[in-house]
This record gives sequence, C-alpha cells and structure tokens, in this order.
Amino acid sequence: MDTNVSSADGRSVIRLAGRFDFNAHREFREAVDQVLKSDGLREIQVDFGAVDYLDSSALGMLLMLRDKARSAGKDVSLANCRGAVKQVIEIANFGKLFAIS
Amino acid sequence: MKILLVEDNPHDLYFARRELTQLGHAVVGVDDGVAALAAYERERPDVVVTDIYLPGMDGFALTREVQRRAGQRWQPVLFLTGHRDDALQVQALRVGADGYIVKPVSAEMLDARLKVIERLLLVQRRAQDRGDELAKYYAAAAEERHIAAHLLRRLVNADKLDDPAISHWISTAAIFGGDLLAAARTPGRALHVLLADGPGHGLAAAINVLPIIAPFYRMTEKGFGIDAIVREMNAKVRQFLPEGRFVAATVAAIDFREAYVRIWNGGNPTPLLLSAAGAAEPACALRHLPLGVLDDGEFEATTETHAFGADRQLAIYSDGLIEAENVAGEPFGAARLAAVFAAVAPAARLAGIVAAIAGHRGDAAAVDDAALLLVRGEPANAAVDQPQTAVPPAAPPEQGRWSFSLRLSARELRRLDVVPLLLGLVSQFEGARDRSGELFVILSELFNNSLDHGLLRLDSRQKLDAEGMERFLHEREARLAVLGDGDIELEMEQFEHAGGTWLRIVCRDTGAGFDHAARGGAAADSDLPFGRGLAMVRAMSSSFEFNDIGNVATVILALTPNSAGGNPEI
Repeated sequence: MDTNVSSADGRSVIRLAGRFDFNAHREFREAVDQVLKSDGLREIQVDFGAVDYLDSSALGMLLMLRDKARSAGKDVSLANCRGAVKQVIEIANFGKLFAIS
Repeated sequence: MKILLVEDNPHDLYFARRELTQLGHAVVGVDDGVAALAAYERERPDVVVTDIYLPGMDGFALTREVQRRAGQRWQPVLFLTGHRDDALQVQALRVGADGYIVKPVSAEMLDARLKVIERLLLVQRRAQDRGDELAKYYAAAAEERHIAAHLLRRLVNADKLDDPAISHWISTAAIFGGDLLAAARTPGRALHVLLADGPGHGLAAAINVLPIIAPFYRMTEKGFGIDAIVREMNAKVRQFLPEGRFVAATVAAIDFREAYVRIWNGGNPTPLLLSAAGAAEPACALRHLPLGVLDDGEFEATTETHAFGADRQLAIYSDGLIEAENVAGEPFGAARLAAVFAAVAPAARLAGIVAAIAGHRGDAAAVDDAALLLVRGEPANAAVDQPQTAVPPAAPPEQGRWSFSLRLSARELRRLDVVPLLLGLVSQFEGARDRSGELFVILSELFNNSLDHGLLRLDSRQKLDAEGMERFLHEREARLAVLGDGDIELEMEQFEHAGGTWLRIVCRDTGAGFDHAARGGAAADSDLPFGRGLAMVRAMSSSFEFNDIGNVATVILALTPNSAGGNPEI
C-alpha cells in the first residue's frame, strides 16, 4: 500500500492506494504519526479513493488512529469509500465511529 | 363558606343572615323546607344551617333528604333553633346533622362551630383531590399498559413462531409476561429459537427482555452463529438494563439438514432432548449464568451440540413451568414433566403438558409466567428445509462450474503473497470477478486465521494498541521464518444449486485448530481493534462454519440473487 500525506488549513489528508491490510501497518502508522505532528491540525481525513481492498486488520488500524486522534482532540473522517471498501466499512458499522463522506 | 340558611321567622332570618355575613360567609336565605331543597340543589352550599319547624318540610326531613342527595360526600348540616330539648337534639343528630346550636348564641360560638366544619371540609377536599388524581393516574397507566402490550406484541414478531417445526405455549401471570419466545431462520435455513425469562412479571419483566430481541433477529438474519448471538445479547443486557437485572435465556440452533442441534442455556432449567418414546435426557451439561451477569471478558458463549434426528424433540422451558403450584403450594416439578413426556405421543406432548399443568394448578392462581417450546427433529413441511429435493432449475445454468485447490507448505507460505494470487485466479471467472471485494475479505480472513492462529499459534489479543500490533507482526514474521512444517489448503468451487450459482470456499490447515466458538464470537461492529474478521466473513456469506476443532472453515457465498432463497449443503 502507498500512502501520501498533505496538509492545509488545519486539515490533513492521508491518501491510501492499493491493498490496505496488515502488511500496510508500518506505512499507515508512519503516515498517522506524521499527520499528528503537523501544526494547527484540527481534522484528519483518510482518503480511500485508490484503495482496492480492506481487511479486518485495516479496520483495527483505523480504530487506533481514531483513539490517537481523539486523545489529541482531533476529528477523523473517512472519504471516498466505494465498492468493496464501502461494504467492509458498512459491515463493521464504522458509520457510528467515524464521519464518512 | 357558602351557607344555606333556612328560617321561617323573618326577624330571626334577618339577624342570623346579618351575623353570618359579618363572619365572612356568603349566605343564601330561604323560609320554608321545600324552597330550601330547591335552593340546595341550585346553590350547592358548603353548610346547611336550619331551624326545626318550617313550613312545607321540617328540618329533620330536610336534613334526611339533603344527606340522601349528598350521597358519599360529607354534607355538613347544623341545626340553629330556640328549642333546648335533648330528644330533639338526638333526633337531629340521628337524621344526619353535625351540630345542634341553641339560640340565643354568641357570634364567637357560631364562628367557632363553623370553623370546625370548615377545617373538616378542607381535609375532605384534599382527600377527594387525591382520590381524583389517583383515578387519573390509574386511567393513564391502563392506557400506557395497553399501548405497551401492543408494542411488545409487535416487537416480538410472534408470527415467526408459526414455524412448522415449533409448537409452543406461554402463560402469563400479569398482562405482560417476562417470558419471551422467539424464532427465526438463518439465510442457511437453520432454525434459531429463543426462550428468555426476565425477573419478576408484569411490564418491568417484559421490558427486561426487550434488549435481547433485536440482536436475536438481526444477527440470525445475517447468519451469525448462536455463540456470537448470545454474546451480543449479554452485552445488550449489560448496556441497557439497570445493574443487577439479569435475563435467563436459552438459545438453540437447529440444522435440520445436518440433523444436529446446537444449544446454549444460561439460567433456565436444563432443556431436554426427547426420544420418540419420550425418554428425556439433558440437552446441556454446561450451566451458564444468565445474560447480564458477566462482562464480555468473562462471558462464556460455549455451546453444546447433539445429534437431532427426525424422531427427536427438543424441549425448552422456563422455571415457571415446573414451579407452577397447586392449591397446596406443591410445585408441578420436573418429575411430573418427565412423566407426561413419557406418557404422551410426540405430536400431543404440548397439549399434554398444558392439560397437566392446568389440572395441577386447579384453582390456584398463576404466580409466575410459564413458557414451553418444543422443536421437532423434522418439520411437517419437509420441502421447506430440503431444497435439494425441490424441482431442478428449468433453464440451463448461466454460469460455468469450476473448482481448484491449492495446497501450500511452510516454504511457500513464507514466500508467497497468497491472497492476491488466489484473487487473481478467481478474477478470471465471470461471476466471481464482480465479487472480488467480498472474496478479498473472505480469503484474507480465512487465510490469516489459519496462518496466524492455526499454524503460528499467535494470540490476537496482543493487538490492542499500535505497539501491540507491531509486536504481533514482528512475532508473526519471526515465527513464520522458523515454521518447520504445516500446510494450508484453500479450495474453491463454483456450483449450481436450486437455480442459483454459489461459491464454496474451504480453508484447511494442519494446525491443532483453535477455539472458534470463543474467538469467532466478536461482533462485526465490536469496538476492539481485533477479532472482527470472522464476523465480517459471516456477515458476507450465506453460511460460514468451522469443524469442531477449528482447523477447517467452510464458507458459502451466493453469486446470484436467486441463490438467496435456497441454501446448498455444505
């Protein structure tokens, strides 16, 4: 999986591409740590537009991101969830945990 | 106060009226008995003050009539007269007067006597108001009970209990029962039944069982196993009910095709398995605690499995059934229950028990709810559960049939990224290609489960935080690097059945298995960062099962919409 981080106006976007599973743990964690360090951050958006697949360990990683962000007082939203990604997110009922756009 | 003053002497009427008015009362004066009665009806005075001898009707007759009309209400009447005579005084009190004042009387005395009456009237009015309020509350409560009863009937989907495999009886001690029966079919046509018994009876008991209904229906519909369902019910009881409220529950899953029953019992009497001859044996050896007692970490969802052929019956019942008392206070008891089962033919058992309980209770009032649910081994309408004997599809299959099996030893497991490999292969086939999102989840969860838990014996619970996850992955790499032997075999087959196209995915490993009942139990929407995977597979597939030891997992995925109706054999 590839990650790409961009920040502007207090909002950081983590763009993911490829297969988001346990192998992606290190990349994802690095992206999260980098984002949480940025100045004036209010909101973190995870962009799934280029993610092909998502498994249960990815969901676990998203929950960890949420915990970290919450303890730092930031909001997390999930964007561009489509197809297989959307299905997995819905089954896990993540709509009640994250803002999904 | 408003006073009706009855006095035929104009001079006395004038002075008495003036005196009473000066004491602060509103006075209606009349000079004969018949007019007094009319004025009483019209004016509804607080107090009647009357002379004895009057034209038309004397003071005694007037008092009697006034009290008759006042009915239950206290109507104070005072006699005010110049006759100092004990016999007259006694007669006045006997016909309903509250006092007898002899003239001449001082203004202070008259005031004091009226104050006593005023005080008593005040007390009476307060009591009356309270009574009215109570009646209003009572009416409101009755209305609410009516609405709640309607709502409860709707919520429990009683119609699903019409399943041909089920017969049931429920007897409630109040309008609402704390005993609840529910039944539903999984997408794989297995029958799930629930008997829950909330503490006490009445509305509170009925409300206590409500939180478990939704997970029962919702998760059954999605094909969850009863171990996951009871775990979720337990969580719901803890989440919604006040501390210390528990719900006894029995949940059973009956697979008619494979002829077995899986059962979990927490707090209800031990369910019974009955042979055709009526011999009863316990269906549960484990004695779980009722729902809501243990937190999720301590909760035990372990189920027990028995063969369940066509000649057998499963009896689930609440404690109210064996505790039903006769007039002497003697309970019906398990022995009588067993005796009826042994004496009556299978089809008549429910009626037999109902009659035996009624006979035993006699005139004794029911003090607790009682419920009995019988499931027979083969439903009367066999076609419902045996789609394989149904008419074969008329149209030629639109999808092809294919299968493959891939067996990898430790060396390949180290080297290959297996899931994308399989996904690439599967995507060559029409039908399966469109489902690659679900297939990715199913294949990766099954494969990782086999590798992580089956072969590498890793414990997911360490994945609680980012560091734990790192440790887990590190450990995984380390163990995989030294994995000496151990195979994983993935098998996929597309096939036609009951007019639909299905995909069977089997994942088998050579490990010692794992406790799938406990691990597979987490809900798909759990808050923990692990343990969700198998629940997700369950949510996506038509059926998902492990063998007993937990090293063979079988998933059936419906590829065509018309597959949803039937369900193939696993």
